[in-house]
This record gives sequence, C-alpha cells and structure tokens, in this order.
Amino acid sequence: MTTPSSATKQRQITLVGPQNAGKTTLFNSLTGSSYKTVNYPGSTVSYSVGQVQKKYDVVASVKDTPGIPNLTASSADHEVTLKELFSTDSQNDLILANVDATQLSRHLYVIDQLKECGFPVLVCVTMGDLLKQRGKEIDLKLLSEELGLPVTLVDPRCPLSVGQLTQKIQTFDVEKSSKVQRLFESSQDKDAIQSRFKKVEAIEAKVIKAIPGKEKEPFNWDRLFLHNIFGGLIFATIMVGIFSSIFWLAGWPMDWIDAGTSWLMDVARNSLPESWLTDMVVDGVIAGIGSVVIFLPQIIILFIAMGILEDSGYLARGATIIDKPLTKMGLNGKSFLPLLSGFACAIPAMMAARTIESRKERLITIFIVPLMSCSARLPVYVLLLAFLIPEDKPWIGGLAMTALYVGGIVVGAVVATIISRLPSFRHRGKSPLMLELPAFRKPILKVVGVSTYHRSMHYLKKAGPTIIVISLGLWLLTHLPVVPSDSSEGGSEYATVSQSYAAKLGKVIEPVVEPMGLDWRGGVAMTMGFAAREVFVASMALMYRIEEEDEDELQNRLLASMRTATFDGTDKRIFTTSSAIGLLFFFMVALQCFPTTVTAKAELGGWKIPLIQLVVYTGSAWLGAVTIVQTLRAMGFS
Amino acid sequence: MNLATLKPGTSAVISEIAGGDELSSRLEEIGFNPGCEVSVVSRTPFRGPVAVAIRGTTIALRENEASRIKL
Repeated sequence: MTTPSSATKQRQITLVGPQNAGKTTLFNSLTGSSYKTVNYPGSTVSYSVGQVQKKYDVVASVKDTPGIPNLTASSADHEVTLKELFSTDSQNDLILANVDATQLSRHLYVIDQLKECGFPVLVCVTMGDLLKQRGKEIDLKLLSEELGLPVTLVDPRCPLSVGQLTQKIQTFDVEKSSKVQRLFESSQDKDAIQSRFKKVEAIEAKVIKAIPGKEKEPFNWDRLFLHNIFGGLIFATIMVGIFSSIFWLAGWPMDWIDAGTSWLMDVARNSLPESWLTDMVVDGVIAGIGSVVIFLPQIIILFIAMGILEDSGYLARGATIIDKPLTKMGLNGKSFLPLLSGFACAIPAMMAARTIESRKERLITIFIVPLMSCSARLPVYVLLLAFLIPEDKPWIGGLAMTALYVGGIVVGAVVATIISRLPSFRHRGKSPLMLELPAFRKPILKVVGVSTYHRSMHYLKKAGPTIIVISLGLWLLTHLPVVPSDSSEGGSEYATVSQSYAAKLGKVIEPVVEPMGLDWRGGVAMTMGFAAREVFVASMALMYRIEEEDEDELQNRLLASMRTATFDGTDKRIFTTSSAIGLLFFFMVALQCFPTTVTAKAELGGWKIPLIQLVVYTGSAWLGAVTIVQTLRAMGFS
Repeated sequence: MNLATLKPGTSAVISEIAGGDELSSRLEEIGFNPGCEVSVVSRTPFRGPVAVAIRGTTIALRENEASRIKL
C-alpha cells in the first residue's frame, strides 16, 4: 500500500483518548463499515484498523486504540495503547485525541500528558450538543491557546462534521522533528496527579462558560434508571423484552428460511441429474447452509438489542444494577456484557470478558459463559420441543424454552458460586468497580446497524465453513463405503447408512449414549454436534434418513422420521418423552463446541481450565441426562 | 463522613482519599481529588453500587470504594 514517494505516502492517524469520549464512534465514521479488528501481537487486546473513507479525500489509515485515562495507567488494555504510542517502530503521524466537552477536566488530563511528551496532537472536542443542553458553551479558541494545541469541535455521529474534521486533518502539518519522550510519572505520586489536575481544572474554568439565561440542570435520568426500586424493575423489563423478542419476532423469518431451504433442496433435486453428487449437494451442502442461516434472525435480534443498549448508554447502567448479585457469585458488574453476549455465541462473549481487570472474576466469567444458552442451541431446542409438545398447545413450548434458558443461568450461578468459594480462589480479592456511566443518548440507527452487521458477519464466518464442512463430511461418512444395490440388503436408504463408516463410529459411541435412551445414530449426531451444536439438527436429518418427500418442511419431515425411528431390529421407539427431555438437558449443560474450547484456551493462556470446563460440563450433562431418562422410565414414562 | 453515607441528591466537597494504597491512587487518577465537588445521583437496589456525579460525568462505585472518599 505505501509507496516510497513521500507525496503519496499514507499517513497514519492514531486515535487516542479516554474511554467514552466518542473515540470508537469517530473511528467508525471515518472508516465507514470497512474496518477490521485485529489482535495486538502477543496479547488478547484487540484494536481496529481501517482506511479513511474515499469520500473524505484524505489518504490515511486510522487506528483505534483502547481508551486510556492517562499515560501512566496499568491495565492490559492500557499497556497496549502505551506500546502503540511509545514503541520505536510505531508510526504516529497524527494523534487525534478526543475529549468530552461535558467533562473537560477529567479528559484534558491525558491531553496534557500527550502534549508534554511531544506528540503531534489534534484535539477533537465532542459532546458539544450535550454541553449546550446543560446550558453551557465552550470557547475553542481559548482552549487551543491554553493547551498550545490545535482544537476542533466534532460530532462523530454527524457525517458533515466528520467531513470538516478531515479537512482539518488534511491541512494539519506535522513537525518532522517532533521527538517523543516517554513520561515517567509514577501513578503512586499523588502530588503529581493533583498538580496536573489543578492545571487542567484551571483551563476548564476558563473555557467553559454558562450561556446567560439558559442555565438549567436537565433531569438526570440515572435517578430513575439506577433507582433503588425502579432501577431493578426497568432492568428486568428490558431483559424480558429482549428475550421475548428473540423468540416471537424471529419466528417469522425463521419459517421463511426453513421453507426457502426446503424449496431450494427440491429445486436442486429436480433440476440436477439423479446421482450421488446431487444427493451430496442437496443433503450435504444446501441442508448444511440452511442450518447455519436458520438461526441468523435470532442472532441479529440479539445483536440489534445489544447495539441499542450500547449506543444509548444503558449497558453500563445494566452492569451497575446487576453488580451486587454478580459479586455474590464471585463475578463483577462488568461480567454482564460477556454473559449477555453468551446468549448469541460463547466465542465473542469470552473475548468481551477482557474488560474485567481481576483475573479471578474474568476466569469465572469465561468459565460460565458456555452455560448461557447460545443461539446454536436454539435449533436443537426448537426441534426437540416440537417433538415433545402437542401442536395445539404452543404456549407450553414457550414456557419450556424459557425454563431451558433460565436453567442455564441457574446452573451458571451455582457453578460461579462454587468456584469463587474454592480454597484457591477464596482469598483473592475482588477488583474494585469504577464504572463510568456515559451520558444517555438516542441510539443512531446506522451505528447500531454497522455493529450488528459486523457481529453477525463475524458469527457467520466462524460458524459457516465449519458447519458446511462437517455436514459434507458427515454425508460422506453415512454414504461410504458404497453398498452394491444388488446385494441382499442393498438399495434402501437405511441399508446404506447402517453399513457406512458412520455406523461403525456410532457402534463405538453407542454404549455411552445408550443409557440416555439413544441409539448409535443419535450418538453420531451428538458427536458431530461438538464441531458446532447446530450441526446436530442437520446430522439428525442425515442419520434418520428422511424418506417421506410429501411434507414441505425439513423440520416436519425430521419430526416424522424421529417419531417412527426404532432401535435396530426391534420396534422400540428411540425418541420418547424421556429421551427427548434427557437430550434437552444434555444440550443445556454440555460444552459441545470445540471452537469455544479453543477460544477459552486463547483467552486464558493455557489448556488446563478449558479442559476442566469441557470435562466437567459434558460429564455432568451426560450424568444428568442419564438420571433424567432412567428416572422418568422408572416412573412409567415412555 | 464519606461518600458511601451521603444521601442521594445531596452534594459535598472531597476532603481526602483514605488508604494510601493502589485503590486510593486509582480513585485519584480517575478524578476523585480533594477539593472536588461530588454528589450522589442514586443508589442501586440491595446496597449495590452508588452512582456519583463528579467533574461533569457519572461514575458507579461500590460501597467499599465510595467509603474511601472522605467528605
């Protein structure tokens, strides 16, 4: 990308500043939606890099760094920003430093330090509108004089305002000789902290002026949202609202996707010549893709809800409200976002736990994240509940679904409580909570849309290829070796499966799944689920070969074949009330997802905890399922 | 008197940050300095964190942290 000629050489803009000063919003506006998130080498902290959008006429790449309150801060996130600033091979042609106009004295602290180090800084003052609402205004010219740095007012959410900023960037001339020196101010030096605060306080007092006649204190919504009683009620309402919309709103698009997949399968089957290749494309590829896309609506709804909570500023309030109950379980208010993300997918959820400073709290959060029922479990729940519950009583299904979600949360709470009381953990102190609550804002559709898009794509890219490869591999496993059609049993679908490699694998697994009330075919489907849980449904469809073609939906066909499936050589039904309930419990608790285990290893820096997690969850899921099946059978249920 | 005992809706001036350890310097770093005006916005249920207004922003602190801030 970069050429040796200095005229076209791309400039490197680095965004630095305190948290909640609009840094990431500015980054998103500058780069549009075409940025990527990368990990810092050797650390789990990620940052985003992108190019300034073409429409702004500035050739530069932009880097977003983790928010930092000062240049002496010491958490893992902060260390990354410091490295970025001071490492000899990092190129920072221009530092864009955001400050929030409503809390100038806090935010100017780091600006003053940046100036002292000699960085080429352009100060971007944000939240000017919020300041005006509070009946105050800022004198930018005076601020620039006081700081000795160029200053500009920006609304990172407004394209016009960002455009004006880019014009300033274009004309900003970097002093070539600017030498950067690292500050060696101790974070323990209270006098140094105080004198710097005194200095920036004096600047704030000079540049912020009350607008005559407009001075009024607007209503502080935190008095309601964090209220002793109403705060909790609002929190509960929001959570119930999110989860009910995941179920009720997503129902329609999911039906369409299901119907669309079946239609596509029929079209492919009818238009392609009859051959094993056609079978593979239809049952392997198309069905595989369908099983990835089917739960996209639910994921998107959850991501939209999270985007709105984030952008409006409520997320930090939620974390504050839930902090007390979470500390009882050895967690932290900051565990709220990771746990909530866990309902979409455990992988981004574990990554979101990085903001938790205490290793103990972070570890426990990562440990229980997989117990939050992720979206991959939904298709399994939907299928098994459809099997269990009569069609004329859909409300029972809704209740049972809620019970499964609540069940996962309860198990998670129990596990967290136990871990936090283990001898090796008990004495470790809890980290303090100092959570800044950003001002409430009306969420902007585009901001929410872009973050939803990025999260959903990340999810699709992660889950998609695995699932398609697995369902293709499974198709081959169930079709090889080829059974000659003139042999005694040959020809029928069942014969092909029962003599395949999958059957050989299944027979090995059978003793393990048999106490759960399943046969080898269910065992194979469950094993395949370890690549990704949603594969289970596609595997079931392949293993219990669906022969009736008159039903128009995949799920109905699968249900019909589940109802008729029997153990080999007998007329004993495999899928009964007891075995379906046992399976539901298994899916609620088991850690059936290798990508999650790999992520946990990366986040925790070792295999020990992820392997304990895998063994404990899967083992107790199996034990629980067996207990449920055997107890129900002893009580006389089928 | 400390910040943990201040009634919601009232404000006071910080006199010192007690402790002299890492926690107290972190409180100072994020802007809780002697001479600053603070007010309690709200208290969350079950004696959870306190929302404190300081230097134009709001910060949630647990009782333990808030009690370090003497008024």
